[in-house]
Amino acid sequence: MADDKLIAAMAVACIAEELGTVPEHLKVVSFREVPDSPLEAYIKENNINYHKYQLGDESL
Amino acid sequence: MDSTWETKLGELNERRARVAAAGGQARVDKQHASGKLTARERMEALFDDGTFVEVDDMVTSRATDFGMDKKKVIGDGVITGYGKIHGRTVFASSQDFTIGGGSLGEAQAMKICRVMDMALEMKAPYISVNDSGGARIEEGIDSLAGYAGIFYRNTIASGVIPQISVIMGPCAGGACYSPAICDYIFMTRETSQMYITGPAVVKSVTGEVITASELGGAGVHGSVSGVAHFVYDNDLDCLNGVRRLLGYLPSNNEEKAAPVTGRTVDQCAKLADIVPSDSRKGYDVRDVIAAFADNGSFMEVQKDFAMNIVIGFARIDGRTVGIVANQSNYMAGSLEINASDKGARFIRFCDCFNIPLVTLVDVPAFLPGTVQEHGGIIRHGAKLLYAYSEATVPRISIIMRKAYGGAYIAMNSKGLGADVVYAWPIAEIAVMGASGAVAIIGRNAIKAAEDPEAVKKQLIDEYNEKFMNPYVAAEHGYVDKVIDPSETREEIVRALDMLENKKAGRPARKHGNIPL
Repeated sequence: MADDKLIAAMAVACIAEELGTVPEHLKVVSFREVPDSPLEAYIKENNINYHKYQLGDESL
Repeated sequence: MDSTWETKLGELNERRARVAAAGGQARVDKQHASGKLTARERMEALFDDGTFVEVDDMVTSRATDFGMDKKKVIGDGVITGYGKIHGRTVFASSQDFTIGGGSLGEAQAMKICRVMDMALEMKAPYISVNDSGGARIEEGIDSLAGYAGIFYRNTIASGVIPQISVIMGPCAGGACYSPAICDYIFMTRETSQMYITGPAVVKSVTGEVITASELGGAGVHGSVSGVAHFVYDNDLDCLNGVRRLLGYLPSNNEEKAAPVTGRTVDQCAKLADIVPSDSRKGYDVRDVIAAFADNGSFMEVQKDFAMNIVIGFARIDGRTVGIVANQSNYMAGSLEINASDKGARFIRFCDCFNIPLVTLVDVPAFLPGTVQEHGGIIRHGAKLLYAYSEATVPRISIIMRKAYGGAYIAMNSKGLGADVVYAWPIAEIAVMGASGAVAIIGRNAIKAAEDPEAVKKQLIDEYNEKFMNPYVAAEHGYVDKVIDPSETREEIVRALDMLENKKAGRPARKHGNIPL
């Protein structure tokens, strides 16, 4: 639960930064959980170690 | 919202749910159990997150014969659409094996052709994910006409937009010819097959008993036939491979590939340790590439096929280049039929899409022998010469060690129009090696000598001193500069800078006639 609160606080902070305001000026009405996509669900169910390739990954 | 709105939105949502359900949970589970993703999951893995837009999702077959009117499934077994890969628009189709085995009928072909037309019009790459039992027999010649429309579009788009086929299930019969016309074919190791006639037909016609995998699996096509350019263990890795390849390519033939700044460490100081000065000793040319290319940037193409020539994409100072290199570790890097085909097609692809070519030369000869001559090495070897000669992209050669005879000419020599030719101090640029040359030009002197061995040795030493170096070629203008190997990367960077705006013309013609 503590993690969820921290994540929510961080999300609010990010949105505030995007909007160029401070978190205190935002009012959170509700949070909606976004369900996993079929691919995300498949990856989770099968414990697959997956990272979608991003440009330049090969030089890391 | 009034009740009409509710009804209409309800119908829309019901149809959308049917689209999303594909062939039903049981078939989706079966697809997963066989180690494959569904068509829609593949699109999600292929495109940047949340960017895929499906088009024509409710198209349904109009066929009625053989009970097809009772088997209609929304979407008709293929998902088509567009999205972003590395932020650039890409079009794709993905056959859905959970619907009628992904079989291709009139409606499916129409969807695929539509998205191909969009790709060509928008000048964006097209990716085709194949997982299909083939033509939908119940739809008769409409299925065949559908394939024809796809092949025609593949051909018209060739050299205009990059086209990539990804084989992630069966791909049989005429269906194979769309991937074959595309620029690159990716295959998954255990779950894909390509063949014109399957094992059952092979058995009935020739009596040969062979499995689908032995006949047309990824292993065979990656190493024996050369049909597959890239082979990956599973769908996710394979689609990541496609994403990586697209990172090296421009969207179309009017653009250049976008530069990608990565970490670079010039490791050319170790080149003199990688390449032995004794031209009879082998080494892995991929170590040479790794020394001068941007870190980890080399993506090898057809790595298990015709391994005597290494081809692939790399970045130098962030710029995409195509590398063509003789592989000293395999058949001493000699050129033969398959290597000629492999090199020529890659050169032509790079030329189509404005990708400069860097050629690493260490080649003793075209491989001699009856197998090669009767197999048509003259015809196949000519492709390599032709491909280099017609290419107008920047062309840089580095003659590392051996460069003998016709094979030297074929490997982007100055005479074929190379822009810049470098040679290392150990380079040997000659008609042939010393012992072979002396056996011909010193034959009479050796025969007449009291001590033939001593004369032979003297003639070989003389030949080595006179010809087995890069300086005669440099004096005659066939080499622009003899460089210390440690200078290789910086010289290539300078040459690429100088050639950045190269515009080479060719006489007007419909098209050339490459020996096929």
